[in-house]
Amino acid sequence: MLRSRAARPPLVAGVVALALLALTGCGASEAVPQATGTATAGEGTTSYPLTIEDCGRRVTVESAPQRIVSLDQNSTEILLSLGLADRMVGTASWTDPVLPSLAAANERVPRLSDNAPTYEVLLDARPDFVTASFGRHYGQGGVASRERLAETGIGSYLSPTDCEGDVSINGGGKRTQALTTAQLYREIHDLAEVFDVQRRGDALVAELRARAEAATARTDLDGQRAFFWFADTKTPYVAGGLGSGQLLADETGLDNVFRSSRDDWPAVGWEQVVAADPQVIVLGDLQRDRFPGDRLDDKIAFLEHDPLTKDLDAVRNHRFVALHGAELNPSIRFVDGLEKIARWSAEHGDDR
Amino acid sequence: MTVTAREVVWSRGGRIVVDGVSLHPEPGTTVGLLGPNGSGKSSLIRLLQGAARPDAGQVELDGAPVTGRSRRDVARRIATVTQHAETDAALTVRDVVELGRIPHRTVLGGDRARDATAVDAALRQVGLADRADASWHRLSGGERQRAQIARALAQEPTELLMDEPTNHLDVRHQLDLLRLVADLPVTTVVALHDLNLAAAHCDAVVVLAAGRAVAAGTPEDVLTEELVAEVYGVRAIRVRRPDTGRLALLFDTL
Amino acid sequence: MSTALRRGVGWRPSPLARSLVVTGAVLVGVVAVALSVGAAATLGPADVSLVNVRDVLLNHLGSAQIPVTVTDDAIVWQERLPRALVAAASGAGLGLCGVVLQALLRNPLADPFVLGVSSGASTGAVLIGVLGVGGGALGLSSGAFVGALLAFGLVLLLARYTSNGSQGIVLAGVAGTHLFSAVTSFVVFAFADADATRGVMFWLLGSLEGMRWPQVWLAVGTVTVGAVVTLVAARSLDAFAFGDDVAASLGVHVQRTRVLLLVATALLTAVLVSIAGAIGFVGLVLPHAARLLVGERHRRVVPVTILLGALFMTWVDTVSRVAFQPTALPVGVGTALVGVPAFVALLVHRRSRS
Repeated sequence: MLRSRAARPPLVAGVVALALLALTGCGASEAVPQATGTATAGEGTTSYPLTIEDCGRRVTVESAPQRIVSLDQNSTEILLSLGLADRMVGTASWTDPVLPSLAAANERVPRLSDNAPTYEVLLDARPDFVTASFGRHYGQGGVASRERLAETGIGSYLSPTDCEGDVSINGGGKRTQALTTAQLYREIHDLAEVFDVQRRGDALVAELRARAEAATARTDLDGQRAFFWFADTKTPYVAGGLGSGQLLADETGLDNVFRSSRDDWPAVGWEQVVAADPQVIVLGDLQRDRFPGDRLDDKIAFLEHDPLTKDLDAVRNHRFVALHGAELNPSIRFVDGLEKIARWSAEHGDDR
Repeated sequence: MTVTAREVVWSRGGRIVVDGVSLHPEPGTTVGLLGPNGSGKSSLIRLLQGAARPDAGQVELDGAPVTGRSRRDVARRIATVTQHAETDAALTVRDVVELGRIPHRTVLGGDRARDATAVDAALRQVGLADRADASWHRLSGGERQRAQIARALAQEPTELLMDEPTNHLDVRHQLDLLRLVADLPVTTVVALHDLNLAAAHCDAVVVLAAGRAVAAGTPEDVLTEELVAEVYGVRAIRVRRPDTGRLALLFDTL
Repeated sequence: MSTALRRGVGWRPSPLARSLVVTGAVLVGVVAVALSVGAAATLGPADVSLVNVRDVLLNHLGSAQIPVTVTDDAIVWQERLPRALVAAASGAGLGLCGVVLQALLRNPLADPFVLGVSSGASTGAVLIGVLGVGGGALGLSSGAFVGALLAFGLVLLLARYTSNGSQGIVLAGVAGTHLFSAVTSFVVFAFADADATRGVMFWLLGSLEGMRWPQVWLAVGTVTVGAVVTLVAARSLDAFAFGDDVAASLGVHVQRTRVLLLVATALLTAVLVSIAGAIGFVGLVLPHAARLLVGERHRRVVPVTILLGALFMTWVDTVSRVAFQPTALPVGVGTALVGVPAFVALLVHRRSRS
């Protein structure tokens, strides 16, 4: 009994594996597909090989990439806005529904994962270039380091909005300088250059600048105290003083009560919020709906019922500005965020 | 030369538990270690085993200090059976007895045939041959004790030390065990609390009281009424057994 | 039970026959592990045909020159194979540590992390990853390794000054584990943002993402040394079954052997945890499974545990890679999902046996 019990499982495994070997053994090697040379043509304005500085690294591109994977929604929406859907083979890390104007183009691009994909899933898309908005994808516990991608000839890019010098903020660094719109526009210019669509890039930046200026011109919230609540009802994550939330505040004249924090999204306590007595509350509406307080309605319900917050002036008078999660991140939707605040300011800005 | 103790002194937790005891068993004999609880019997056994170093005096095996020899060498000569051996492992009786072969095994496994013979013999000697594949946890207290004794016998020792091995055993097995031990050619030092068992089976006895050896010799010579009264605090009446003619004791309160 | 009893009186296979059978079973087990690793190289979310897998393997193992795409080569040789090998080594190593600790500490619930090694590793990792201690000189893995050893050292020290023997060590281990876990929690909640927290969680649950050949050599090498040490000490492990006194009477240097094996176990665990995080259940459950198959003699339990551990982990990782794609599931979740019902089954079986 001892003999058969001990030997049975390995025997089965052995038979299965031998069968596998037999299967694979009977096959001719597949031919390696050669690069066809009929690449989708760019505008012809970029001269290759191209080298750009990105987050302290030199990224060299031999020719216009044809198989782009974007690891974050922010980057994806930039690429789609640049009309690159036909050259994209994968997207990942979606926090909100795609911008309606980009929905049709997005349909043509396979979604690799709702969150971060594994390295193998990424490779399965056979990319030749990878873009990211957040540096954690390139760090420990991320998808793959940029060196590892380079080993198989895959170029990589990280948004300047996540970089300070050669350190990725999301990847573990800390900001010492405030985020500016210049970094966002720089990202668009970089990507447009790499993918040889510079004219479209310039047009996109011009359009965004124009919209932003139009929005901020008619908005001056006159230093009203505000806090930007991203998520979580127990320990709310709010905008700190150096990130995209602060940028929104600066552009619209709001006074972010948590501007003294150096983190992009520090977790605070409700007592601090109440002590700061905000007059305007900017709420993130997160479609991911994973935690209590992600949705806008949940946030409002919480504020209205929680004993600490329900007596705040801003809560009683419903001085809420609702923004999508993506609009609170350093992305092209930042401009949508500006426009939403502008609209709100036009309607309610003067009530105190 | 067998295991001997020379004037050993040992303290534990600040208290002297063995106070200048000497023990020179004749090779091949069975020596009973007697005395009330707390008199130092278990401690002396530990010293004889080499499990602890005495504060003064020596324990010797073949004339050399036992603590100077390698543990493995000692284990091939001296086997010990203590009380209360417990385990959580799902061992069979045979597994337990096989433990006794560990001192004889080498890294590569050793002589398996010899191991099997020793184990089988030990099982037979304690009467557990038909329970060899039973689970240890299913055994009664007495059977477990016998399995431990078999384990010690499987070591094929020349010296056997036993600390109250007859606890938990019913009468039949008490008698069988002591007869077995007395008949074995090994030198045995066995701590007992049953004076009659000692009188019936031991070639010599040593009586301990408060860590000191107060008497040594044959049971006939040592187990006087005065000694029993002094050491155990009871009245003993010496009688002769009608069948063997050996000493037996009857007890009453003082 | 009755069959066994009858067997006890009558025929039994000769010791030579029995050892030949066990050797044969071990050889078959080794082949099974090799083939499982090979199977793991063919399975995954990416679409790589069996023929391509074979070609990549032939290129690297047989110095053939068959043209394959760079991506296929990277997937099979740089991702799946190192990962499967580290999985096998981790499973083998953790199972091995479990066997040793369960024997030494006389506690069937002991696992490799009972001495505080894994919580020390997490503390080391968060100090590097969240607080940036060491300023980039130490990587996350090195930090985890140092943390693991520090925790173990503290536990040993604590055990020295408290009660003696196995129970003292377990208690000291509990204290050490809680202490370092508390430090880890404190650092995470006080200083980490959402992403860093997620990264640490991955570590705590064990992750085989991103394994590469240097980790393979480290893991396989350490496990091999550990296996040799343990096999040499196998009869000592048997001797501990009834406690220190009986072990000493059987000729084992109790203190020396215990310290040596504890240190070896802690080192092996520290290396494995620093590579792949704290993968639970393997070290706890697999030794019991091995004992169920081959009994209690450690000369058999040790190699069988190693093989079972390697097989178990390789397949759990392969299945969780494929079943949960495209996201990465920490392998510790997989081992728990499989390990818990397996453990319950083992307990029920043990109860019905005794």
